[in-house]
Amino acid sequence: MSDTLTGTAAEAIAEVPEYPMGRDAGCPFVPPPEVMKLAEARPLSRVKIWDGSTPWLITGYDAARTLFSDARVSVDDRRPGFPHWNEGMLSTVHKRPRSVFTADAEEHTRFRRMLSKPFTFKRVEGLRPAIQQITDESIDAILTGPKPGEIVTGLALPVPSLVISQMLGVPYEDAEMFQHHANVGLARYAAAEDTMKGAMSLHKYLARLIEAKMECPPEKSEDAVSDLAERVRAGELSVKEAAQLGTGLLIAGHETTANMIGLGVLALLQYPDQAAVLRETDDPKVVANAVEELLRYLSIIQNGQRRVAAEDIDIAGEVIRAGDGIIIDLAPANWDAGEFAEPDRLYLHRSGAGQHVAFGYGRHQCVGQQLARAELQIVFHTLFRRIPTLELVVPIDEIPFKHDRLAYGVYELPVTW
Amino acid sequence: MHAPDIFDQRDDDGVVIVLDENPPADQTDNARKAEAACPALAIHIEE
Repeated sequence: MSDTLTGTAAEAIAEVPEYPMGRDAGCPFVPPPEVMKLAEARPLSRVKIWDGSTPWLITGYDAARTLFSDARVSVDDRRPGFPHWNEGMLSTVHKRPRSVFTADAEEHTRFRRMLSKPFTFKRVEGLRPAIQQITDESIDAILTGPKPGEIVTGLALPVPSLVISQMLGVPYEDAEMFQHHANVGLARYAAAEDTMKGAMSLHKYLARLIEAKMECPPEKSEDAVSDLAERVRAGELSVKEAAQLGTGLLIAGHETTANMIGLGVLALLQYPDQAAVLRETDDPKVVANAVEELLRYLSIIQNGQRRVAAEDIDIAGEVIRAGDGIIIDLAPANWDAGEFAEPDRLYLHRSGAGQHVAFGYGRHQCVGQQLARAELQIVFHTLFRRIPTLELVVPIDEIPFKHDRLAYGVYELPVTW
Repeated sequence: MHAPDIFDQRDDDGVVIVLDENPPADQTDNARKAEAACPALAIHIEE
């Protein structure tokens, strides 16, 4: 009897599939087929990650929302059982200062409040004219530049980096340095050394900028680095903590939005009837819904949000034990047919598109989501308005995709018009 | 902002302020959207 049990248990472990899983090369917008197969069978299953551990992979929409809003689910990456992304993240866990991404409960609330000032509805709405101008200038440059043009370097990267730099108060001449360091640390299997170097350079730079703003405070704080400097002066934050928050904002606000622009433009070029919806409307509600649907359909944050159970949790007929790793995968949740009818169809008029979890859910959901929405609404609408004949110059299977990054996207998007 | 007639945000730290504790029936949809979207899960609707 005990032999049978042991045999079954060994078999069960051997069958645990490895994660992350790859996408099908022929279907670049579809989440990895193996993930979708797991999602079809159950809302949560065990997977095996790089260190041999077997955390839970959450693929169901309801289960994802439930766990995102459950206080027993911790983001503290120092807890045993936390499913780290790679060796680099594990080996630096005690060197990295605590941040909004890795703090729970009251500590998290303290960090989060420090960040909410630059992202209030009013401040983001106030940035719209600047975003429009930055977008128009980027498109002017594409139209007067060489043919074919390139969307990633011409539009997708400069718009969010100019916007976030302006919002943070980071001089634009440093943007290239930032992008380099942000990318090094985020590679799918980044070596420990590269992760450290990238994060340290950004951190040092921002610490200097915060200190400079503390010495010469502006009359009225209008950018996020000045806001942080104000908190440091008030004794609420250390310079180190403030620099860590600033680094997080910069990385999170830059690469993600850029990928969403690049991949979104490609998806719209593949479905011209959907691009026409954007091009032909003047209704901000239609544009806003279109962006929600693109966020749902593309779910660019791949490889899952990482958590660990602080207590036993009953969910969907399973028990997640205290100390079990939890990986909440956004793409299968956003393609859950129980929540979104015909989830594999990009339909910009979809009702309820805004229920997606592309920004996560609950207390850790993306703090910059209103800014991202404003940028995406302006960029997609303006681009297809101003260049109605936009088209790819190579077949889609020649486009290089970011399979190896935490945020999915395209490395290049050559276009003509 | 899903329900600007019911909620506002404090300029200092973004904390939500309730403007109307008993919003009219035509604001039901907006209130529900705000409840669903609140990151701190701080909005509760009593009917």
